[in-house]
Amino acid sequence: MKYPAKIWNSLLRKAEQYLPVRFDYTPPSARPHPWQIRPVWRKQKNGKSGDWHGIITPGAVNGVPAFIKMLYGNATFEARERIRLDAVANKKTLPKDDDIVKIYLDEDAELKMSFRSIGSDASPDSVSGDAGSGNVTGVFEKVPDFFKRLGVADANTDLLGQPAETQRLLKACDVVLNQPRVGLTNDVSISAAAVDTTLVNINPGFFVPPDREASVTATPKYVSQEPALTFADLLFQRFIDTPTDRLHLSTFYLLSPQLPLLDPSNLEGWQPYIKYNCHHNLVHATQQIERRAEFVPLSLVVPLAGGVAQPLINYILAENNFFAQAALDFFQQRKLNGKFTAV
Amino acid sequence: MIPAEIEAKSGEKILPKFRKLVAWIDSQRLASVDDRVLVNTTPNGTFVSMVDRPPSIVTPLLVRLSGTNSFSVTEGYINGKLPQIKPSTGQLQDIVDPDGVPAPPAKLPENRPIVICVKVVFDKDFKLQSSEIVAEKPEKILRGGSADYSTADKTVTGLIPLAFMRSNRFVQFVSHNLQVRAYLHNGSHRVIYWPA
Repeated sequence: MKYPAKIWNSLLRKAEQYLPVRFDYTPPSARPHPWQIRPVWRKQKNGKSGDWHGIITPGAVNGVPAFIKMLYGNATFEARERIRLDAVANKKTLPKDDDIVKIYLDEDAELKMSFRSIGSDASPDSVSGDAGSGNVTGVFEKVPDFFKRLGVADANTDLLGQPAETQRLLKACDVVLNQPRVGLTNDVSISAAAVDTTLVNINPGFFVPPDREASVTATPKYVSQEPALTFADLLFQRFIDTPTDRLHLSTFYLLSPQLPLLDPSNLEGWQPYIKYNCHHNLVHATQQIERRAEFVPLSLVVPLAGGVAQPLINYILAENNFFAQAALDFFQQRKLNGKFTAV
Repeated sequence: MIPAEIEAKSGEKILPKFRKLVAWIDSQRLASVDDRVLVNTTPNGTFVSMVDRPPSIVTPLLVRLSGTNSFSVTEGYINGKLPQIKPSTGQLQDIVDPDGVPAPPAKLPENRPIVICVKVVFDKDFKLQSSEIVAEKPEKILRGGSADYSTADKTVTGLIPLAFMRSNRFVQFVSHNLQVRAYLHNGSHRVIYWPA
């Protein structure tokens, strides 16, 4: 006799309701902190391969739990029920199992990890060559000392040499918090020089994100964004403000069993280790947009050609003044990145 | 909350999940006997079972469910003073009385999600006037460091979230006593808070 999944799941819920059974995860003996990760191995539908996921203890930003984008079909019953009720109330169509939806951390959302390699099988961050000696040298991420003691070797920086001998392999994935915020739009256009045209058009503006909720994502490697340093970065659009503040929450390491491995692509038997950078709920506040400072326009009163040239000088100066004012705005308003503080 | 290990998806075999469930139930008989007792009241009677569960830790300003439609807040301090709460049956009072007896639970609104907050009010000299436990919609929480300013009585009001509830359980936000301060910066009023 075959039992459909629906009947089984409803049977489980009835068991919880009517029998002395309660389905609950027993956390470790210590109290879990916000953003703490419980690693789980999930087999794919084909049953052969699988992925590492992390169930994150609810952490909140400004009092509201963050969310993870995941497949509707993989969401918990409570989350699917919330989405179903929301769809009914707002007359929206119900998502399909392979649609991406927002699942909050307090709904046991799962984050699928995607890994980079560290150590002997890693790809170099940068490569440099010496034409004289013929050496090709790579710069690699260092293996943390903890994993060196467990048998993971650093990569060989000589890319033409043999790979470093290692007892185990190491992979890592960074877990990042993303908080949308107001950002600066930097629209600059420079036209060809002419007598009666504007040379430079600067249109600074603000982008207000429609969704202000914080999210948690997994990325193979987190790279912090450096702010623009000079006005030229702004003018020549080398600076693009990303309207999101990011915080590196933790790194999810996977340590392989002793080499050789039967199937290096199968990560099921690998041991997870997690390094945390954040143990608290967070308050996020952005920089205030400062008031425009008093601007003193340039003026040049020189009676050239008996004052005939004054309108032309005024015109040129006006252009310069507008340009300088816009530049001032850029300088004052580009630092919109916010700060996270623990609470 | 049914764990994913035994929850079935369409097309999955039930028997392995059933066996896992049986194994889990069997393993409960091996739980050590101590003071961690779970009492489960069902329509078929009251069942008592032993669970290996860590003892709960009480932190300041911890929001707890009381029944299904009320909540209470444990002893905690804002600028060294107890905030007040309005119980479902009673007047506005401190969350704990001078003898250490907690105030009766307050009513939990039915709409979800909900945030239990401390509403802090500062007078025109930026001195803390009052702090009261209230339930608010999440969208009412201003962004960090912002405040409402009343031109009528010149007061500055801020909301500090304590705990969040989406359906039927709280996610605690604050786990310390708090220090809170209001100030005027660049033409706008701000309220900031930090663990004390």
